[in-house]
Amino acid sequence: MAKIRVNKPGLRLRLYIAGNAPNSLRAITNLKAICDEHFPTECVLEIVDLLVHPARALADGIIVTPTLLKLSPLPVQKVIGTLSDTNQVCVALASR
Amino acid sequence: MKLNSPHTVVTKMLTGIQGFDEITDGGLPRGRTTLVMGGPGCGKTVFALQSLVTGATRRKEAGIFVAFEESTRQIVANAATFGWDLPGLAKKKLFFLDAQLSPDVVKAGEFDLVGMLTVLQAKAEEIRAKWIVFDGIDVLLSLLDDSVAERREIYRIRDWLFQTGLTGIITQKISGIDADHRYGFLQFMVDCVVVLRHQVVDGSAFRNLRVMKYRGSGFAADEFPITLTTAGMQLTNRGPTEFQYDVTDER
Repeated sequence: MAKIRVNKPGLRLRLYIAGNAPNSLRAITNLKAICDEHFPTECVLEIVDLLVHPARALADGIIVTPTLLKLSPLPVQKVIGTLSDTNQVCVALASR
Repeated sequence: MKLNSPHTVVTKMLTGIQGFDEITDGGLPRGRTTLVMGGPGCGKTVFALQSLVTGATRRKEAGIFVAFEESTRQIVANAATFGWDLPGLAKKKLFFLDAQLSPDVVKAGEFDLVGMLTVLQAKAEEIRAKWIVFDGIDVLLSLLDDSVAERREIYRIRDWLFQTGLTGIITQKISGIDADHRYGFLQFMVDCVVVLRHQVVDGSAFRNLRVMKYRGSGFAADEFPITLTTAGMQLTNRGPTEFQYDVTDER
């Protein structure tokens, strides 16, 4: 699990990817950049590769990849795509 | 590359839709993709569901139904009128997957179906599925809002179907009479195209079905009226062409 600093209390994220599909790789890079810049304190990021754990998608209701879940603080927010649209992602991650 | 010997005929899968199996001389192309197109309420989902149910009940073939538009609970409830015991089948032979994106999902960039297809492949292997239906895929793909990406994902599905050997049915809405040009290329890519129409002619409503294309097989290209009975969809013949010959379904 990659540890990234975020100043908000305990931003817990989970990113579902599909191996090294281009969109998935871009999402990882974009998310790390966003977290470093906008959420530099405690941000816990879990990356789930659906090529390795396909059952996780059915259990967690994941349809497309890449999909980002903001698990906490609530409300849980789902963001799909390469996360290239920085302010869309920031708005979603900052939602309380 | 070994070319198939010329006389390998397309093997087929019965859909159980009376009349359709006759006009296609055996049903849908096995291991290939069929596109079922039509306007709202013309029976696309019923056509796809009935094929799955027939495979499951008559030949014990498992199937996966991926619903992009309507919730599967809704689809199962709507199909209750057909007495197919979908809830019962859903326990063993049919796997229903809800793939509707909820409206509050935020889209922040391009996505793809690589993950979903891997998940479906794992599930197909687990239940040894022979069929898969993508019902209303245009709803998900239009979210991409980029025709190049949409086309790429459709080709990804086609290649995936070819590689998994599943018999695939893709349903797609067409608004208006002609096919929605945005997905026009779909018809060229698939092996079999079935067009369903629901029209009102001086006050009375008609549903009809036409096989527009069937690679590797002859078919009756006329438009046949459809009736929905408690057993499901059924083609009524249009007069002279009687359906006398019955179709065997042993191996």
